[in-house]
Amino acid sequence: MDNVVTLSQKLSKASVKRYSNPYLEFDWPEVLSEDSWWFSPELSSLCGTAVYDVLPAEQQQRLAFWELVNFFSLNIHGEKALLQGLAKRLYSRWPTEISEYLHHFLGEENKHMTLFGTFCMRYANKVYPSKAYSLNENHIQSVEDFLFFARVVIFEEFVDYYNLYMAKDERLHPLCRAINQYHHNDESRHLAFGRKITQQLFESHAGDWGEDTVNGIRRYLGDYIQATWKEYYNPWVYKDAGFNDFYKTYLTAWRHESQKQLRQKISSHCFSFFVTSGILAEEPVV
Amino acid sequence: MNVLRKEQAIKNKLSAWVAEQSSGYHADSVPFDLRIIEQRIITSVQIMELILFLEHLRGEPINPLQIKPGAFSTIDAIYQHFFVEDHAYA
Repeated sequence: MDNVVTLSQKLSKASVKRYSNPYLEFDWPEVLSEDSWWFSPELSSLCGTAVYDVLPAEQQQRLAFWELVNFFSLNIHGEKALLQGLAKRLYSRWPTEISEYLHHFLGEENKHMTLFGTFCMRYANKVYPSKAYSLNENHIQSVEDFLFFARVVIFEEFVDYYNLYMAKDERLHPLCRAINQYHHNDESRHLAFGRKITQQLFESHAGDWGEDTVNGIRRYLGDYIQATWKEYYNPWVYKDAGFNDFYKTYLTAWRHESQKQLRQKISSHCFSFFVTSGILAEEPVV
Repeated sequence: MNVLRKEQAIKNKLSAWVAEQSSGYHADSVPFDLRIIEQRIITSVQIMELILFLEHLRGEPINPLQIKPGAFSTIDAIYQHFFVEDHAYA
C-alpha cells in the first residue's frame, strides 16, 4: 500500500488547497430559460436515432433538460453508494494517511450531491429513482474492497467524460457548465486515487483469489458496466420530454448502433485501464 | 378483460420477456413457477431491465427501494407482487 499512501498524501494536500464552498459559489436563478441547451446534443441518449433527427429544436432542448436531470439523478445515486462505501472504510485496515484522504473524498462527494440535488429539486421537483437492484452477493473482504473501488472507477470515469464535455460546451447554460466543471475539478483527484487503489488491491490479492474468483470478478464487472450504462437510458425522461411511447423510445435508444458506438467511445479510457491492469481480459462490448 | 384473463395475459408477457433474455426457452415455455433467479436464468443486470418492463406494463414508475425480497423469484411471484398486492412501489 506504500504507493497508495504516497498518492493519498499528495491528493490530501491538493484537496486542502482547492477547498471550495459550493453554497457561496453558485447563483441559482429563480426560473430557468426554456430556450437554453442543458445537455450537449451529441451526448443525448437519443442522438443518432431517427426519432431525434426529426425533433424540432425546442423539443430537443426540452429533452436535453430532462436528460440533465437524469444525469444529475444518476450521479446522486452513484455518490450515495460511494459515500456509504468510503465511510465504511475509514480507519479500517489501511494506513491512516488513506483515511485522511477518504475524509476529503467523502466531503467532496457530499458537496457534489448537494449541487445535483439542489438543481433537480429546484427546477424539476424530483430526483429520478435508480433502477439498480442488487441481488445479495457475499464476497470475502478483499474482493469486496476491490469491487467497491473498481465500481468507483467505472462510475466516475463515465460521468467525468460527460462533465468535461459539458463544462467546455459553450452552447450550454452557464449554470449547467459550472456544475459540470465543479464536479470534474474534484473527480480528477478521485479518479487518480480510485485507479491506484483498485490496481493495488488487484495486484495484492489476485494471486490468492484463484481462477474461479477472478473469472467471477470479471463477470461481475461486465454486469456492473452494463447496469451503469443502462441508467443513462430512462423511459421516464422520454415521457417528461413529451414522447408518447416512451418505453419503445427507450428500447430504440438503447439498441441503436450510434448509441452503442457512443457508449464504446466514452468507455474506452476506462476499459483501457482495466485491461492494461490485467483486471479485465478484454474490453467489454457495451 | 376479466381478472383471470388479465392475469394470464400479464404472465404470458412476462414469460415471453424471460424467454427473450434466456436462450434456453421459447416464449410460451417458461413455467410460471420456475425459479428464475435461483437458476440464474435472469441476472442482476437483467432485473434492472425487468423493472423497466414492469413499469411499462403497469404504466407507472417503480422505486426499487420498495421492492420486497423474493419479488422476482418466479413469474407467479412477480405477478403477485407487482399486479395484485397493494405495495407502494411508486
